[in-house]
Amino acid sequence: MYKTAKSWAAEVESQLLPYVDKPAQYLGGEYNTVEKDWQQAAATMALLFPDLYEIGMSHLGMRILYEVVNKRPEYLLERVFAPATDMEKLMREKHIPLFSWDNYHAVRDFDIVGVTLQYEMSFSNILNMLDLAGLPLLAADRAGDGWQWPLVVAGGPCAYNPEPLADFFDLFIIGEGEDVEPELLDLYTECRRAGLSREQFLHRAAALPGIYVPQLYQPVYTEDGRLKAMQIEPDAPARVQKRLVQDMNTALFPECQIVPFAQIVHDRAVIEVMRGCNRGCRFCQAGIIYRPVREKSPEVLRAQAAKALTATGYDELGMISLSTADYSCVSPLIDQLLADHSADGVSVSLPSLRVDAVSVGLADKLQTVRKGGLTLAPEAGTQRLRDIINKGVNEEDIFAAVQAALTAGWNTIKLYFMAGLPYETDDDLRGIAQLARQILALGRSRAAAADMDAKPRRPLNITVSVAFFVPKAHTPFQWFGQNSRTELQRKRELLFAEFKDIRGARLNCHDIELSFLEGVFSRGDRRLGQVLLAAHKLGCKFDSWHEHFAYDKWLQAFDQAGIDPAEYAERQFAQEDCLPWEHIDCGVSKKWLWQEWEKAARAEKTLDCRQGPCNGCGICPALGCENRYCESEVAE
Amino acid sequence: MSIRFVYQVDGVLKFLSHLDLLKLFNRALLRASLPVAYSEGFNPHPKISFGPPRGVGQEGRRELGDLQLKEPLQPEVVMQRLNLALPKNLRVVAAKEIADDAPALMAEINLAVYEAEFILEPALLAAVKDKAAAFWAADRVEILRKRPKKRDKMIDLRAGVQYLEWQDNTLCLEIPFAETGSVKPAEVLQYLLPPGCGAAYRLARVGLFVQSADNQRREP
Ligand code: SF4
Ligand code: SF4
Repeated sequence: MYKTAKSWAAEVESQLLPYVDKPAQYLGGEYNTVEKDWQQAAATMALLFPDLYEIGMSHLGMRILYEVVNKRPEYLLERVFAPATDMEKLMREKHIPLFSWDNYHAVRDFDIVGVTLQYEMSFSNILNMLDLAGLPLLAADRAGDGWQWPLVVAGGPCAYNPEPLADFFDLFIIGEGEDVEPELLDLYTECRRAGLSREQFLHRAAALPGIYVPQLYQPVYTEDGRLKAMQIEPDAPARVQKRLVQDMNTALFPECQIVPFAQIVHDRAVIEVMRGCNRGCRFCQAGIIYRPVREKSPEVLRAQAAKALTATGYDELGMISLSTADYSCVSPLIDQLLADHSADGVSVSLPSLRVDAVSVGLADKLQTVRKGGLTLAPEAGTQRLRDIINKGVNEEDIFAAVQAALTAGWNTIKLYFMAGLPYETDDDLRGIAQLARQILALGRSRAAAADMDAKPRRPLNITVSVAFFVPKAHTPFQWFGQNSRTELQRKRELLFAEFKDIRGARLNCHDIELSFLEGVFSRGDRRLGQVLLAAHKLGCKFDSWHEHFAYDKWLQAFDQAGIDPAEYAERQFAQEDCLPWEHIDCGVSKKWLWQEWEKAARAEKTLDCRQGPCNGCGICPALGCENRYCESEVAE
Repeated sequence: MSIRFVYQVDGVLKFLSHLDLLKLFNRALLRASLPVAYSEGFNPHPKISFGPPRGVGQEGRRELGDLQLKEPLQPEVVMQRLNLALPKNLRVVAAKEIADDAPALMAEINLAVYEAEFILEPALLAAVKDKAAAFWAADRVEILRKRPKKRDKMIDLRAGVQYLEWQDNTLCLEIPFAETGSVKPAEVLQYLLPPGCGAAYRLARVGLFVQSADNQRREP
């Protein structure tokens, strides 16, 4: 604690909360929060989630970091979320700075301000929140006055291409935060005690594995404006390698989970059954950056589930991971959890399903998604394209999953696809409609069969949701230029024309403009910082909330910064090009990613190394780690 | 067996809606592992019920709730266990056993007593007091009530207030629950305040009562 902090509780209670919509979302002190003494803390940290409380509190990473830091008696961490627009307006009117939820401390009084980067379209919110906190936005503007301003740091999936945000942050944490976060706090307190300057601290931090200090890396561009290389200060590592937790069984996990007062999006107790997914879908960034697979043992999970449920009083337990149906002991674990808790009225849920009958069987066993809707993600409409993107799903899997769902009594199925994928043709898009027709036909024959045993059935309804593909850094598709807006528009129209005559199917497509901007930033470089600054000044925020997204302002911001957004989104990188995120090392080799990109061109599949030999993605040797699968039997 | 408990809610928790509070109690019951009775049916829920909802932003000094248990337990034990499972700014302060067939709180309670502590400079406070005196003397005081997605409605504020009294800067208000809908204390307070003052008061519901035709009152 290097600053005394005034609590703004009185102002918040009397001048803000009586006048805002849904005040319950701004209340700290929820059950299972920890009480810490500001005066006693060696270092204080504010953790910012750049979206509303209902989204931020649904996020497991936020809860894990809260636990990891507060577990250390000498550190204090408080949570901060984005105020809704009515709240923000009042705060600005009354000159009340952005505060922490836990004790209404001003964000600017913390030693460290950490921001979680979950999706590109929250970037404008980050700048808005820093501004509302009264902090200079640019790291350079905070550096002049020594330690007057907090250190502003960031981590999370978007830190794997930190460049568009590089101007705003003092440092980035690459990879999983459990270990490195406390190390950073240790280093911070050590340096402050030793009387080191901000500058000296940043040089020391750069030597910490997993820490990227952008000011020590300066991009050099060619004359035609392409990135040539990074000029790196001698004491900074050439590449910053991600951090990871080797053994999830012993990793700290928040069992006493905070129970929000307000309704949040995922309002339930959770266990994290594993981390990582090696299925290798070529569009998927999570499948690369969270490698390798680290499963927890069923015994550990059973204990954590029991503790989380009693500590929270929730009656729902979510089994979280990228692909829970792939967990080695998923079926016995579910049986065990149901045996342990269903008598108490607890239900168990899976966040996502694999497209096959087995997964649907699991969902049926859980009975949670109560015959409302079942969600399946075949991602592409034809086998050829599914092989290109390495989505290991074939037509039989899809139909078997649908059959299983119909048998179990679902009559609403949601299907997720992407459009604008590499090597996609119009036939692939028509394939989506074709698949929809076939699935509806299955539903009809089922209904006809049911008629015979005289049970009236509601006809099958399907919703087809199409997202426009955004290429992401550190994936085999990172070299691919996004389809232009006109091309996506044409594809959108084609899809709607195809679906016009399909009765029982509803088509919805994501926003093209939003996908385009996401595409600009996901593979963007440092020059985009100027655009973000301009967009912030024009008032952009909450871009992922339809009612707030202001595309024209974004275009104006690009214009002001003299940058053509299409050049960024549509840029096809060559093999020899220096990628803006080249100095960030996710452990999976660039060579392997390129091989995957070439295999995609040949529609050649790559198997999950869970099912076969190592296919050489490089992470295990690079990080000295290995896939950890749990024993397939569960102790009775 | 049935338990009636008295609880207090203050601090920022006064901003919870009735529904938020219901959810909170349901989870606290599970955390406290009390042998709560559940309703029958497809979607069983714990048998807990409350008095009339309190407005968002009001503190509660003597709020009431009923709880049904499957197994007998000392009311004090219920209170202790519940308190361990409640967040700060919310606490049970009394509990007693009641008959299983005791009338529901919602059905019985017909009077709420409020206290509003004004935070105003003396001149403004004097103006409020004058206006309150005129209000008390009037036969009718009509205001337009704004209703979301409905037409504004004319209501008689004066008819909705049974009694008012000052103690220094605190106004005590008695508002009966009328079948046709009762007035909200905030409506009275806003009427008394000069425009532009915002919510320059701290409002608490201090008691809930059963009032008989001869004006005798008791706490249920
Ligand atoms: S299954 Fe595919 S899309 Fe899902 S997390 Fe794994 S790699 Fe990503
Ligand atoms: S290095 Fe080999 S074994 Fe390890 S995750 Fe990659 S493909 Fe699998």
